[in-house]
Amino acid sequence: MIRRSALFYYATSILLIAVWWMLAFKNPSSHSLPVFAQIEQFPQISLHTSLSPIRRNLLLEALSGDIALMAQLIADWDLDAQILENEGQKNVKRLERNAYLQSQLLSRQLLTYSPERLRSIREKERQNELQDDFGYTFQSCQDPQRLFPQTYAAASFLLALAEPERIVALPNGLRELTQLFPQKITQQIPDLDRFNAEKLYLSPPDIAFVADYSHPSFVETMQNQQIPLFKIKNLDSITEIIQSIKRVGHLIDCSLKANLLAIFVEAAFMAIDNHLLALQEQWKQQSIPKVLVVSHHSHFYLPSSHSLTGQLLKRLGICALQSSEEAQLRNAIDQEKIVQFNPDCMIVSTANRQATEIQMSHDFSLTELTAVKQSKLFFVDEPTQQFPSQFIVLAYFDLLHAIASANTV
Amino acid sequence: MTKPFLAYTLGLLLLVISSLSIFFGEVPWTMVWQGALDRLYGLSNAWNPLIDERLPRFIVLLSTGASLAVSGAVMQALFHNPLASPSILGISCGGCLCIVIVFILGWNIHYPYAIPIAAFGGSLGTLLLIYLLSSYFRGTSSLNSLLLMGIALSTLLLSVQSALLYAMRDQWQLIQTLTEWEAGSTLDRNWKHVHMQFPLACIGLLVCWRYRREIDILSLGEEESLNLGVDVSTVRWRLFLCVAILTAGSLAAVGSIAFFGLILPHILRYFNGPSNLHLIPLCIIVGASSLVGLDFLLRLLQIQAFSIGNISAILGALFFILLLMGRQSVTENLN
Repeated sequence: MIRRSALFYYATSILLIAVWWMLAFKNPSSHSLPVFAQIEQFPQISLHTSLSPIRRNLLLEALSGDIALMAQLIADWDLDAQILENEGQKNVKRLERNAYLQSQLLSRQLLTYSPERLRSIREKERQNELQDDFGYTFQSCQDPQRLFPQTYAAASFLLALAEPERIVALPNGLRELTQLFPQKITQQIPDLDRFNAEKLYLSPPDIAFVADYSHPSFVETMQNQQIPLFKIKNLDSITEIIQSIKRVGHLIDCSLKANLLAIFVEAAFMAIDNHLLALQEQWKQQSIPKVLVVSHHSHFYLPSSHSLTGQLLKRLGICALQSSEEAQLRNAIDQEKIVQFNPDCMIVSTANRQATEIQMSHDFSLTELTAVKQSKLFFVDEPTQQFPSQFIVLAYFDLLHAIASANTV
Repeated sequence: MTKPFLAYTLGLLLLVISSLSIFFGEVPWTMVWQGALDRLYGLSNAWNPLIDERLPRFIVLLSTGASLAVSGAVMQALFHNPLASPSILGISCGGCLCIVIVFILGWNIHYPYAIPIAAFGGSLGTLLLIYLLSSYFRGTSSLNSLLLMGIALSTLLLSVQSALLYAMRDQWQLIQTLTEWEAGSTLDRNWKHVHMQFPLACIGLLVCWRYRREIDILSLGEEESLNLGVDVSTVRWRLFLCVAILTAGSLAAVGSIAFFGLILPHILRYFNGPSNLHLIPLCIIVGASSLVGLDFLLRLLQIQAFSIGNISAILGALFFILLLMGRQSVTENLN
């Protein structure tokens, strides 16, 4: 039996904690952050009246493998570049003539030639041997039909280049990235457990794409099942992404489309860079805004210099908040540092905008920021920012779009 | 000058030095102070680094340091084992598991109190379960059965947590959040975290301080304690409860800070001697100031790569190895 005095102490303690928490958390102090602008609300960049606007939805469609759209956009952007050059603009970026012509030729071939004729073109281009990222020589097999991407990057390339029915399985998490891969496409691909060796044995793929971070025992199992493996290392730069697109395309007998996609990625970056030039012209008349780009999980983090976002920020010319040594790591940034920096434009990269918005609305320090006071707070999609695939173009678009919107909102 | 007096003096000195951490930050002190005065006089409602960040972080660190050190000292005394800590009974594992579930369900976003409640519920639930299960072994040594049951249950809880994380492996944003939380961080602590922890720490520390004499006697062994008139089972139960709430508060406010509770009582015993009479108040003072000092050092040296939880775990593990090596050499000398 618990004595009466003991009961009193237990009850008092529990009551004290309960009352404290009730009073503290009954109405958690929150503040409304003025206008949380999201990229999707501004679907295009149009800074310069004589340039064609870049529309996000069209970029997404083209990067998903729309051949006609790729060719059309490349042609539009080339024209834009010529206009800028005629206006006397310096440092205009433009595809080399050969690359431009090749893109237009490829699209015509892909759209108008018969399958037999296309096959013969591919046969001429085919290399019998290819080296993967680890230097292993890979014997190019004839017309591989069943493709097994074990990584997000490989799956993304395959979805853009090959028909969905050729893909044996997808990484599970990729199906949830519906902002990049529509369900109507991913649902066509069977939900095969990609770690189940026996299921894989029953329906063996002609080729599997693995990475250096793939599970070693699973890679070994596939080797034992004599499934040809093509190893792609972690893609850390835009150049590596473009090279991988070409090699994957070559392996799966989609070299023409892969070449077109690779040229398109390059052209899209150049087109966005040209819009950045127009923005920099505006900055000459106004003051250059201080931009802070952070990702948010439980805290705010600055992107490291070697991450894809870090490289994109460097390309955009956004000054780094930390020294080059510090920027080697993805460092957390505390409230005080953010307040001290006081950005004019704040871009938050998050996978769950709603949750981040709620958490940020409880962060009293943010109300001090010029970016918040002037409604220049933007959200960008984190998976798009971090995903090493052709969709890195969208990540670049999103960042520039936020900065451009901050100048005009 | 007696050893405990020296220890108290050193502890208080350390506390004063570490308190200086509230004067350092990105924003210059003059600005900070002016802003704080404006807030106090009602002239401004603006966010202030001192009031809204440094002070709550300081309180959280004080509470966490004191809680972990006292928990370690109490567990070591109760189990007569220098290697005991809250994790040995699975108390912290239970709290961790419940917090992980809260993160998975996303309750932490809408209900900030879900984290301390989960930590408290998990820690207390684990403790009750251990008591219930170990009652089957009352015929043998109850302390040993508690210990074994604790180890078994903590393994089970860790396995469940691993299974959950494995099942959620494609949700890499969630995994990222959990990794950050598990690393133990003092970044962006605010009054919410103080409210989560402070009542728990106050009650837990007060009860441990109140029972410091009994803890001292309990460290002699069960039979001796009974002979000296200590109601062993009641005192032990209450102390376990205190360890549970102290651990829960620390988990909720800072995350996982490994080894801190294990090493600090040992260092203090070196100054204070084996008596727990002074060890508990010393643990409160030195534990609080050490964690504040450690955090201050990390900020001052701008060590970005590690969290306070990482550093504490590295230092603790090294000390653990030294402790074992020291015991080995003592044993060899005796032989």
